[in-house]
Amino acid sequence: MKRIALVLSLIVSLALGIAPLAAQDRPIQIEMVHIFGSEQDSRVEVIQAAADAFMAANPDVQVTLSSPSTDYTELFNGALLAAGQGSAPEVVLVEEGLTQLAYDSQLFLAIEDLASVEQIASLEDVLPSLLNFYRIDGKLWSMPWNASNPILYYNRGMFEAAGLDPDAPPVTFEEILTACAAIMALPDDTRPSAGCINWPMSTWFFEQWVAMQNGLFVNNDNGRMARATEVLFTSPEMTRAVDWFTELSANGYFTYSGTANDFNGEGQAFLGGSTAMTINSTAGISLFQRFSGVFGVDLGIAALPTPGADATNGGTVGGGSLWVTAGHTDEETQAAVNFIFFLTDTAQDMAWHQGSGYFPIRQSSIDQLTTDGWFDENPAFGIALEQLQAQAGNVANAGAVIGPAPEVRGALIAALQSIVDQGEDPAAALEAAKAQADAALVDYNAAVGG
Amino acid sequence: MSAALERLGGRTALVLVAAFALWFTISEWAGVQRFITWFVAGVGALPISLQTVAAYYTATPFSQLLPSLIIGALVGAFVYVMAGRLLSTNKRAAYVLPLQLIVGALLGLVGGQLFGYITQHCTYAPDAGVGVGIAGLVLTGLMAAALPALVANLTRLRDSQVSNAGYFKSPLLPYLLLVPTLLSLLLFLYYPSIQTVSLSLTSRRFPLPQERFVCLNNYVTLAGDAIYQNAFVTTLLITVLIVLFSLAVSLAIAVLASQKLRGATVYRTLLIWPFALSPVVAGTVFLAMFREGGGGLINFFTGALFGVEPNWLRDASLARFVVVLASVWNILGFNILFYIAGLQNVPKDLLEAAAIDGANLVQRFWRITFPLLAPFTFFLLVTNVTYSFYGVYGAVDTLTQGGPPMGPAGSLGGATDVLIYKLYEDAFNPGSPAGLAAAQALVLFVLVAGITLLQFRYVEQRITYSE
Repeated sequence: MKRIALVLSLIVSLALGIAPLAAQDRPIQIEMVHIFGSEQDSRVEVIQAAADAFMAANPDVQVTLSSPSTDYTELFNGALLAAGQGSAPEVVLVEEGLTQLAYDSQLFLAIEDLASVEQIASLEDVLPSLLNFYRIDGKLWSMPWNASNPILYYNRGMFEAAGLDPDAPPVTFEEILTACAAIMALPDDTRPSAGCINWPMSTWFFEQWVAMQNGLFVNNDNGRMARATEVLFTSPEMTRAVDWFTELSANGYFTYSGTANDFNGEGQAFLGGSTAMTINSTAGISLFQRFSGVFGVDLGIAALPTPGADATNGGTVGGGSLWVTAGHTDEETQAAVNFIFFLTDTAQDMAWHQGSGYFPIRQSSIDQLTTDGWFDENPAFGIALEQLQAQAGNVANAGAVIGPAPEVRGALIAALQSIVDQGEDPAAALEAAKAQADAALVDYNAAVGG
Repeated sequence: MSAALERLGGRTALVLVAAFALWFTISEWAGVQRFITWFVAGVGALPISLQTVAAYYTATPFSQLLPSLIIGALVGAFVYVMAGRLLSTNKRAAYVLPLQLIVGALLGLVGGQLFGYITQHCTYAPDAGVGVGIAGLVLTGLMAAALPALVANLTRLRDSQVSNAGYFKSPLLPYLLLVPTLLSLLLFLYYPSIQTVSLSLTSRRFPLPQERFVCLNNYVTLAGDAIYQNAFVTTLLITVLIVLFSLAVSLAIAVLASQKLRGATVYRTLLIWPFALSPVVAGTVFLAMFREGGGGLINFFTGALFGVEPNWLRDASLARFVVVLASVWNILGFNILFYIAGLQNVPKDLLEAAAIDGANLVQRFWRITFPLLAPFTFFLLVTNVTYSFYGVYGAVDTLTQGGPPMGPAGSLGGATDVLIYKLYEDAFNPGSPAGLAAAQALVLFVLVAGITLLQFRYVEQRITYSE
């Protein structure tokens, strides 16, 4: 019996020893969840450095960074389910495509309502095209942070072999077709093996091309005046882009991996010499630069091609923004807002751009980086930024906010796949995709209430 | 000596269990606290829920309640009496018809109202469609039949069992020991199941909190949805292919791996390996091989050797083939494991006797080994069918996302859009119809349960278990 008592007391003391580990000494604790948690992702160090600096300046606040998932969707689902149980992280990184859902969930507070006068004033400095994206009903709901857009990567060696000027990459749809005709006319051993151009089977690029023509993706001003009730897949702007895509495919110029949203697979195919051009995110610039050396590809980077000389409106911006969840004490909420503004101030913004490749979001950061000669040393980032600054700043550039975004975009992806893989008529495919997407919108609006 | 040892062992176990419980409670105190609060609130809310039920029944128009009450009572009485006649083992027991009628009617009433209450008697509402009305009648009847049948079955089991007094000192002890199991079943199986049923009657968009009661509309939508019907056909097709291929290939490999060879254990271990990978990893491996557009391994070789690069993922038939292949490869190790175990249990003397009688290798396999493996084959049949219905999600998601689309913009569905993938997409994509997904989950559950029952009823009867 004695021995048992001894064992028991040992175990109890052990257990009691473990328990207090959770205790913290700072009174205000906030948590931020993000997607940069995979093992080799150095971007998490940039964020941690910012959090440490913030805590040094605010000794009563403890900032915990965590990355429960590296997938935007799972991160969002997890945060919302936690919010339903009253244990949401204070700050959530939300992908641009989930903006409407975040707004409709009623689990977030608009950052414009919480920010101090100085913080509101500092928004003057943030690029308007970014702010526009996260404004719903005229109010800023979340703070843009990691912004990116698509860009053209091309193989300079293949351009030279085909007699094209590698310093004058194609700018319009028409020029892509001409360049592809020259590249695909190369003899067997120098021609790219799979096709002239590839990109991930995604709607993202088509949304860019519609915006460049000042067209909308969904009605009600891209869903910003009221919830969208109809998609505009059959608009002349979308039809123009899809018709060009059909022509590319019919000529054997376009290829893809056969699976949708394969951002890594398409990049690999291009770097492996299977295609001469590819379209991918600006967030991949450093990866492409690193691996082009490994694969021996002379990499060229240019702006995303436009539908034509008339399409001067500029594209939209993708990426994520920082949202503040409801249901915390005032101190916690205030600390969360302060941390978000700290994370996006000029100094942190510059560090974030240099450490991640995402755009700087403030004009002051751009000016400082330009003065420092950063864009001269890294012309690729300069091209990406010019593309962002070329935006007209209207509702087309703001991009669409859609509740059932996966269903709506999935219908358009199915349309694109059925055109290039099954030879369906583009007009019929877009019509069918519109019917599916519209049904999803109607059902969503009924479920959410209005 | 041994008794003392046993006592010591028992005490040590008890101490360890108690210590673990203590450690768990302390280290997970926040969670334990929340569970206790939740549980107490749940128990405390019981009187309130009874009031809610009473209030519901007084508020619902009697004309809407009456049909369900009548059906419940009639079906319940009939089923209970019939079950009593068919199942009763105690023929000499006094047969009290009026009592049985009353008990059956009461049970049927409760069963019928379970359905009625959950659906808020919406199928009996004047504005419900004809289809919904008929479905409501049938389901009320089924529920009214299920409860008396269950009670009759349990009664029979109790009566037919030999007394087990003496095994436990206290009659309460067995129930006490069952509490942890029952609690976890309640928490993680029954409670979510009921949640799924009620979710399937609502229109809700995951993960938003807003929801609206829509009666059986989600089921009506499914019944009329061409994409869902095609997903059903695709699932059956892919299931048949996976089961046939995986059983045949694994049996062939198991026979080879059972040969007495040097290093056979190494082969066997390596063969079982794929099973340790999740379907998602299997899908990723196969994507690396079958990717098109210059990124895939297979097309690199076929292109270099034969000058052809098939559209593995963009062609409907080929895409199905790749999904089947990835799934078969994934589950192969599991099947081989069981077949190797089964082959080791085939008595050598039988095979030798047959060999002496002049049976050749093929005859010995088909006449002796294969029939003796039947219990293993049956077990694998059931598990592989379940895997094909539920487990292929990961492979489909990584390889094709349900594509390639059939019809313009996939208006006829996708060539590899199986039921479980469609269900998962509708359940967990942000902003997708969660109520519809819950309805799909129930339909899929009924389907798999039905197929499993059929297998036990018609396949298992032909199997003799040895020893």
